[in-house]
Amino acid sequence: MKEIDITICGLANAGKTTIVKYLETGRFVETQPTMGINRGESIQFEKLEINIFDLGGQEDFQVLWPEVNEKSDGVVFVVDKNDYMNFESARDTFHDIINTQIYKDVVVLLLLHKSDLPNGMERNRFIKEFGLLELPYKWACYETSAKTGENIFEGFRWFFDQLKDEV
Amino acid sequence: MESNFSMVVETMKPVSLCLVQMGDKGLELVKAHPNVLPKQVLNELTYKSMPMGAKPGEFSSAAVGDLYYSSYVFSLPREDSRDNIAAIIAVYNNMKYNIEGIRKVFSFIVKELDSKKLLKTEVVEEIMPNLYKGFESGHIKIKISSIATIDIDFSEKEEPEQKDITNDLEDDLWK
Repeated sequence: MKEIDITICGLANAGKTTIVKYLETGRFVETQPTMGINRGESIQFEKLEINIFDLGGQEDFQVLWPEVNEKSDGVVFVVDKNDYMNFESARDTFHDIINTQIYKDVVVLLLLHKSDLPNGMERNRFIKEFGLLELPYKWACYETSAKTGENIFEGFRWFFDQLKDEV
Repeated sequence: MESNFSMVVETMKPVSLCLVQMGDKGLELVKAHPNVLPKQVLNELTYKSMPMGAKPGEFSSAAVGDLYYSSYVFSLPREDSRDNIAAIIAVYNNMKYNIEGIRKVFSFIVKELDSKKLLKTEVVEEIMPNLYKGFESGHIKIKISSIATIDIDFSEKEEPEQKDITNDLEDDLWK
């Protein structure tokens, strides 16, 4: 069995830990802010053993990201689709990861999260305004909700399939 | 109505009590009582009090410079968004204090406030001076609502005994 590392990044309160918990338990779990880095349970997917590093989103913790992301085989970036106020900050943070913290063969999954709430940003608009069309990476974007479970497993299935091919 | 327990302790009087919580950018010091520690120590305490991966209910003790501290991490319920994470810390100038006693006091107070739906930043902040006085005198008695009091007596030579008395008041004031 091959072991790979993935990181879950995104601004504070984007929903990163609830996504990890949903993957682990198959249900919505209330969470608190992540203190720095959480090493979640390993997930087995076909012939892969996947270690998940859930990174705290607060600015002060973002200094820890480069070291973890540099060793990562895949990066998941979570955006709260209803958080218009921090959209630019999320985009800048994402592009900083892309430009300075990961290698070109890394697989990138974007989750436009909290899709159960009304009035969130449309996926097409998000892809355009987040600058994903020019991205020189293998990437995909899913609208997800850890409350309803929408697209969580679908998104990660795509992600793990790509990782399986890469490693 | 009182929720109380008693315990045997050596020294309980801290140099200071601190409350730390997660803010927008990272961990932030909410309050230090009395505010006698240098800024540099407070900054270090703010980050050391909640180690990487810390979870509610965890208790740790360590040193900061020449000082020693014990920290209890807890969840701060919020109605309008997800719960926050916070830590209450007792700082001492030597290691001769009852670490297990501190853990029991902090966990008991957090549990009591939570059971009365009073586990809020401003409430913990408000009771810190009384808590400090209690550590100093050996008897903590904090009125957290018009009919509920937390009572911890350090002088009795009995094992911790907790009397759990429920209280329906949610938004009552403490004094």
